[in-house]
Parts: sequence; structure tokens; C-alpha cells
Amino acid sequence: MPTQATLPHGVSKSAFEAALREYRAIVGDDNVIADVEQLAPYARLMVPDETAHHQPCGAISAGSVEDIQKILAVSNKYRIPLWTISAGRNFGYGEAAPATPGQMVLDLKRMNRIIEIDPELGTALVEPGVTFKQIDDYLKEHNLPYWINKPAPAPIVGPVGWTLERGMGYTRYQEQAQNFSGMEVVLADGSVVRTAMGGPKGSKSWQCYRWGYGPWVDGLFLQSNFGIVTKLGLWLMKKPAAHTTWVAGFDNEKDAFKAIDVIRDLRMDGVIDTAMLFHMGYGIALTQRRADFYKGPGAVPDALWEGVAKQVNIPLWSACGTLYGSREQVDLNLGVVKAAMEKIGARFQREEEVTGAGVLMLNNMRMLGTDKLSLEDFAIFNYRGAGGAWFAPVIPARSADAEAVYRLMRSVLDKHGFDFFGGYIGGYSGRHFDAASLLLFDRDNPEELAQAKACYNEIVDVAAAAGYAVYRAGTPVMDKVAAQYGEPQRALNRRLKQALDPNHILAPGKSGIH
Amino acid sequence: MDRLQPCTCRTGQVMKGDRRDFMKGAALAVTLATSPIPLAQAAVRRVLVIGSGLGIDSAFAQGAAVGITSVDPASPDFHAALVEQLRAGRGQLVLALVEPRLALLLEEAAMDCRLGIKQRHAVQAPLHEDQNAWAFLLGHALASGSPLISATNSENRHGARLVALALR
Repeated sequence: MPTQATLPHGVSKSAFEAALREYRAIVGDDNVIADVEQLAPYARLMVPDETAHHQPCGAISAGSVEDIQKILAVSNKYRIPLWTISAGRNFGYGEAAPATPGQMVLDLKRMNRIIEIDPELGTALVEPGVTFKQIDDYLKEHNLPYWINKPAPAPIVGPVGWTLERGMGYTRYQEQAQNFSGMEVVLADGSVVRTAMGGPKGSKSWQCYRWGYGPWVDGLFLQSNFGIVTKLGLWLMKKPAAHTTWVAGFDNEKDAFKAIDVIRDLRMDGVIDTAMLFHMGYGIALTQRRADFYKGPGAVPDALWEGVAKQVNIPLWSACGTLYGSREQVDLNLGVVKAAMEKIGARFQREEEVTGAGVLMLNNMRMLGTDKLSLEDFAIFNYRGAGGAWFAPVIPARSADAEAVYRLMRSVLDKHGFDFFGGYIGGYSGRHFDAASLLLFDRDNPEELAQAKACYNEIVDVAAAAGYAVYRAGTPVMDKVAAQYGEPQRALNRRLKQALDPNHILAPGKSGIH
Repeated sequence: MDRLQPCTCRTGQVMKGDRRDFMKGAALAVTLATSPIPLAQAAVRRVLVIGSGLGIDSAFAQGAAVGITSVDPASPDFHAALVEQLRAGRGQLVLALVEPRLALLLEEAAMDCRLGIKQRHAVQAPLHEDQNAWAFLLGHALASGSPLISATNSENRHGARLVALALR
């Protein structure tokens, strides 16, 4: 752990101390942290990089839009950069720590009001600190017929930061960035903008119609540092009258990749909403420490995975999806999915037919608004140690591309001695998949940390070189990924940044935008 | 070492939950403990201990001179319960000997409570027979800020990978 505070770049100690006094006058002593030990949870990393590269200079917790406006004024005055977090988790992508050292973490967890949930329209207007659990509790308390789309660590993460990062959830709505309407944003100069239908005076449609009039600017505030989002309108999934989860198992890779084509066609035909295809290793890592079943050199050999799969009677790969609708719709579509999957050699099961270790895969992949309300999935971080980094190259929804990116990732992971934990998450339109994988390593072992860092960087490079750039990046590789997207995009982002934040106080380095 | 003998401790509130044993080889109770017994070297009045779930919690707590109670990490309310306990003990030392996954969650709760991380050590537990003695020494070393913490990890050990934390 660092023993000394890191000052903002170009800011003297005396100026920083003066700024701290002004911050404290705004939010109170308890809501400003500059002590290194107290900052340690904000600097804590799971991704493979040295903490010193991401050490904040402090943390400040805002309680309102007015607080944020005043904090921005101080930051502009002293040129102190603010790294904004909502619930502040971003597990596997950099957590709460800033992209570059010396930034003040602007923590919005205290802004945790559910402002409104419309019972007829299924819309929710929430502040950044609201967690999925809060919304889930609200829906249950008021007996509202909706599910909240959410990721695995739902009890402690929130929809605002997750949506802005383009996170993927476990319901029909899946990509929440496709399912929000309207935001309130505080710009670097303190001005407040309500996007889309939030503009017209007395508008009644802010959370209903996302496009508004003129250019749709909401996208500027996703994965960016152009403003601070202080309210977001979410769409909630209507609770279906019936649902059924199916699993299609494959005992070899060749057949498994064919499922990508089948899922694409079923999605584009409107039979399914989406589905995933995952390797069985992910389920095993949720229940086993690596050292308990493999002590050899390098990555766990394929033959061992195959042996484990046979031993616990689960397929090497499993495709899984959930069907929603009336009972008749679900049963009809289930028959279509079953026929399509069996045609490519899958062992097809309804959820109630899945037993034993297969339940682990089912629980990991089914898409129900009733799941993911505990923190059990964190068990995967016992597999090797407290290190984990996600990487998700985007691939066209074709089996050949799925196989190609798998071979690429496996070659890099094998080279560095890490195991493959991942699969493919079907995209919203059916035309792409996220080839999502989790690099698991022991952060407390310096050699393994260095190896993981090399591996993580190489995968991002190799995947992009093959045409499969990632859609979301951890803080250690944000510059690298921004460079992969090309100089014209970077130059445009720089011009936008200069126009909206001329003092560059909002999260420098976020998504490679400086 | 005489004054470090196991002591009688007051046990705090038991937090109930639908505990499920979903991890092979490890009970998953997270334990919190309170003690009225002052630790001379740490100069604290009250200590919370969060246990490893490996059956060595008592020895660890005795080393730190505290007792233990449980919170269930499989419960949807786990984080809220943890935060509540940490806030209740604000200003006092919080000790933990936990699996890596629980260390991550504890660090998150520490952020929510604005607790500092005073010590963080990855440790490798020994196997079987000498676990309790090891945990006892570790508890004492962590509570007192003693250099023993490094000594406890100096041998070639083959048990579970754990994280020892001291928060305040």
C-alpha cells in the first residue's frame, strides 16, 4: 500500500490543502478523505496493474447536484481532476480507482434516491448511488410487475454507472444502454442539462422517448468524461406471465461454435431475445480453488477440463437462454429452439431437467430478474486469488468468428499460464456477440500480477489486430484501446473535451480521452 | 505469551441468514465479533473479527482477544449487514482473516464506511494440524501490529490462500 499521498499533477501541496479546505466547507469534514490509509479502498485494484498508477489524491462524497456544482468550481479554480464514480464498483474493469494518479475521486454513492418509478410505463428515474437491490426492494414493496435488468454483483452495484459503462445484464433487456431514456448531466462549468424530452418545459415524456429533438447527445456521456450524470431514466422489463430457461450442451468445441449461428438466426427470427454460450470452466471456478485440482505448470490442460466435465457430468460448453411470454408462446418457442439446437448435435434440456453440477452453469447463464441478488458469484475470486479482469472483444455473430477469437485468446492465455473462463453473450440485435472472458489471477503474488498484466495487454492487442476490438476496457488499457479505435475518433474526442471541459478536470484518461 | 491465552469473551448479536454451503471444503460464515477486553498494544476498546470460514476463526479471535458471531455472505443483505457492523465499530480496529473473495467485499464495505486499510497481507494457511496455532498467532500479530505477521507466512505452507486485514 502507498504510504504517501499523491498530489494532482501540477498542483502544489499548499494549493491542494487550500482546495481540501474549500471542499470540506461544501460537504463537511466527514465527506472528504485525503488520508492514504482511508483512500486505500478507493485505490484497491482487481485488474492487473500497479496501484501506484491509479492512486487518487483524495475522495469527496457529494450529496446533491448543488454540491457537485460547488465542487466543480473548486476543481476548476485549483485544476484538480475529478474521477467520478456512482456506486463505485466497476469490478474487473478498474474498480473505483482513477485511470491516472492524482485524481480526486468524486463519489456519488450518497445520491441514492429513487426519484420515481412509473407503475404503468415501467420507467424509473434514479440517482447515481441507487443500487439494483434498492430498485428490486422497491418493486417488491410496491408489488410492481417489473424486473430490473442487472449484472452479477447486483446487491452492491447500481444501474447508472453500469449503464454508462454499457454493462450487460441478465434479462431480456440485457444491454441496459439500449434501454434508458433521458439523463441529467452536470457539465464541467456547473451548468445542468436534461437530455432528450427532459428539455421542454413541463415535458411529460422524459423517460418514455429517448431521442428528443435534434442530435441525440446522450451517447456522449457513456464511457466518457464529458459530464457528470446525476439522473438517469431506466426502462424496466415487464415481468412475463411465463418463462422457461433452456440449456443446450456440447461435448466438443466444433459443435459448440455452431450454436452461435443458431442463436443469431433464432434472435433475428424473433424466437429468442438472446442467449449465451459458455465454457464449463466458469462454473467450475465458482466452486473450486485451482490448487485443489491442478498443481502442474501452465494453464489447466484441455484433457483435464474434459475429464472434469465427464466426472461431474456437465457438457464442455453450454448454450443457455430464457424464453418469456405467455405459457403458449414460451412452449411454442421452446420447441423451435430445441429442434434447432438438436439439429447441431446439442443435448437439450429444460431447466427443470438440469441436475447436479449442470445447475452451476444454468444459474450462471439464465436470464431472470429474480436472480443475482446475492454476492455468491464472488466465489470465483477464490479460484486463484483476488485478481480479476474482464475483456470482451466484439465479434460478428458467426461461428467462424467465435472460433477464431477463442483460438486467439486461448493462445495468449496458454502462453502466460492462465485458464480460459468465458464465452459469448449474444448482443441485442442478434448481429454480434461479446466474447467475454475473465482473467483470474492472484493479485497478491507479484510474479503472477506481472504475468497477468502482460497477458491482459497482449490479448487486447491480439484481438484488435485480428479485427475484434473490445467494447469496454479496464483503466490500465484505456489508452491502448482508444488508440486501436483510430486517430480520427481520438481527435474528435479531444475537440469535444476541449469544448466541454477546457480545464480538463473531468476524469482525464477515461476511455483514453485526455 | 502468557497474557495471550484464550479468554472468555462476550459474544455479540448473531445475524441470521439462509446459509448455503456452496463452496467446496469451506463453510462460508463470515464472523463478526465484539469484545469488551482492551488490547494493550493496540490501544483499542473493541475489536471486530471477520473469520476465514475454515474452522480457525476461534483461534484467530482468541489471538486477537475477542469473541465471534456470524453473518452469512450468501444472504442478499450481507453487504448491508457488514456495513452496519463496520459503522457501529467506527473508530475501532477491525480485523479480518478471510478468503480472497470476502476480502474484496470487505474492502468495498470499508469504502462505504470510509474506513482505512491499516494492514493487508496475503497469507497462506498451513494444512490441518497446526492451523489453530497459526491462526492464534496471526490474530495476535494483526491486532497488535506486531512483525509476527510476516513470520506467520515465512514457511512453506500449502493450505488455503487467505487475506489478513486490519481496518480502522
